[in-house]
Amino acid sequence: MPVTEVQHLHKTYGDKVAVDDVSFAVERGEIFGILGPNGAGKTTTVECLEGLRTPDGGTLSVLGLDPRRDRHELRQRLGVQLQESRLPDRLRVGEALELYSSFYRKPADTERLLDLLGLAHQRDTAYKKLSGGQQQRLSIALALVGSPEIAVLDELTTGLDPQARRDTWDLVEAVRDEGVTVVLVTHFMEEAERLCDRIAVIDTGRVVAIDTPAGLVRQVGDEQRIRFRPSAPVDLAQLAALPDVLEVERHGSQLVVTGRATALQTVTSFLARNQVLAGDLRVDQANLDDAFVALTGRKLD
Amino acid sequence: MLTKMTAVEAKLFLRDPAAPVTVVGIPLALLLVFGLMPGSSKPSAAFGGHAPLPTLIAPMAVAILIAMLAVMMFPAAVATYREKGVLKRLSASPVPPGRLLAAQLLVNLAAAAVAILLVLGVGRIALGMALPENLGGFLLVMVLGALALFSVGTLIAALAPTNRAASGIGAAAFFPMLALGGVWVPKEQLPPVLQHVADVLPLGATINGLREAAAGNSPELLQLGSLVAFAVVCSAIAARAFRWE
Repeated sequence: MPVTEVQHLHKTYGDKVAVDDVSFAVERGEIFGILGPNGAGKTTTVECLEGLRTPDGGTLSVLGLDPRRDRHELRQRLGVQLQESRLPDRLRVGEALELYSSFYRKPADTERLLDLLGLAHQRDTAYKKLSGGQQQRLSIALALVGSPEIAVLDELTTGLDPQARRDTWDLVEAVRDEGVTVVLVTHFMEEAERLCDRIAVIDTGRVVAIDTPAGLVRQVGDEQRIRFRPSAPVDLAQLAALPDVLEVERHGSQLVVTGRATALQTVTSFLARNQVLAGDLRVDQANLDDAFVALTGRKLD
Repeated sequence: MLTKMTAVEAKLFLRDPAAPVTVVGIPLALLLVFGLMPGSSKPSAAFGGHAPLPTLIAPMAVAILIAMLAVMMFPAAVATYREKGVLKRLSASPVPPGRLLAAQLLVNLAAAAVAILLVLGVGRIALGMALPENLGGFLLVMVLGALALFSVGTLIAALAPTNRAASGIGAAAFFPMLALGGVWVPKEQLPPVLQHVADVLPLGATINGLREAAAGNSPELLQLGSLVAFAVVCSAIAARAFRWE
């Protein structure tokens, strides 16, 4: 039984179609990614889930509730971290948590939350004095302060430095391990690949694929490309005739072999039999970036 | 919930030192500068036989104080919250963003009450200023004036998307009301048509109603009626128009 179901969601702003036709279901306990370029309709989709926007078409169900009609009940059970939402400059970390925890029937332990998010030493720090990473962690804390069953996190690592980004990823995993279902909106491939159990790829207001990260990559094929500099001449015809090898090209002193998933073993054992060393060996496999290009016809960013 | 939010907003208000200083400083300076002029507490023929300090300067100080808070500072604070996404964040929580508007309103009303007491207290103690002769009428106009001006402010707060927009609209409302309300030129010296305008626009209606009461008269019906009308109409529109966006 999915905790969130979206069917044929449609939303326009004036004559601009923000979300054309989006359907997906989120299972309890997973990290579900919504991946797509800027302007693809990701934020509009989750804002409809949060009850902040009224859809023009389609049906939504979150925890069995209608996000507009039952918004009062839903907001008790759905935690939200919004893109580009700030707090008053002079509000302190502890005050913000205390204020927001007073809104909920079952508030989380704010002390534990401060520890979990590494903000215990910033309790008396004003919002504007926090670093970008700390502000982001505070907004995650506010998303969790009502002990939600689902947390929707929108572009939570945008603008963070690489270290802060990785720390935030660890945190999202910790949140999931507490039993919270996470819906993660992102336009970072690496983030989606690292965190998500399943990903919906959205482009121009439509879902183009839903699968696990590995499943998405598999959809674009399992070819790999092996590059190396042979230490002695190699018979290219023999190499090309090997099982799993599809193509052999010579680029100057470098050989590029394209083959199926197991081609690397075949090629290296062939080289070993012929007592050839493979210098500067590199293997490129299809990744989520390639999958995204194959699915949408363009690169992210 | 509203109590907690109001307490937080009050703390934030006091943490911004510019706000309380302006709120108290400008009307207090107005009162002291005029109050220290010789003869300001004596009846004068130029002021219709009344002493200018209690019957002109004090009403002006009180009305300007309320208007500054109501149409300039309060809407700018709410618009800043809208601009930063504070209202949107609240919309996604169990507490509707209108609660924050209400908390801000309460804080600013409280600030107005404290500042008025302070300004009038200093006038009374340091300058020996006479109390309003019609104290009940003075209080009535003060309350209605606050309601009318804060309703105008709430309307600006409901509509302005950014701090900059709110400040612009606030100033565009405040300065003409000041000019047409009998601050730059006392009402008696305005052309007859503008005298009516001075009794209708909320800042002018407040000032001139307070002047009547301070001099021992009843506030004019036009003044009271227009204050009630502004309060009702502006807050009704604001309540319908208020959004987190």
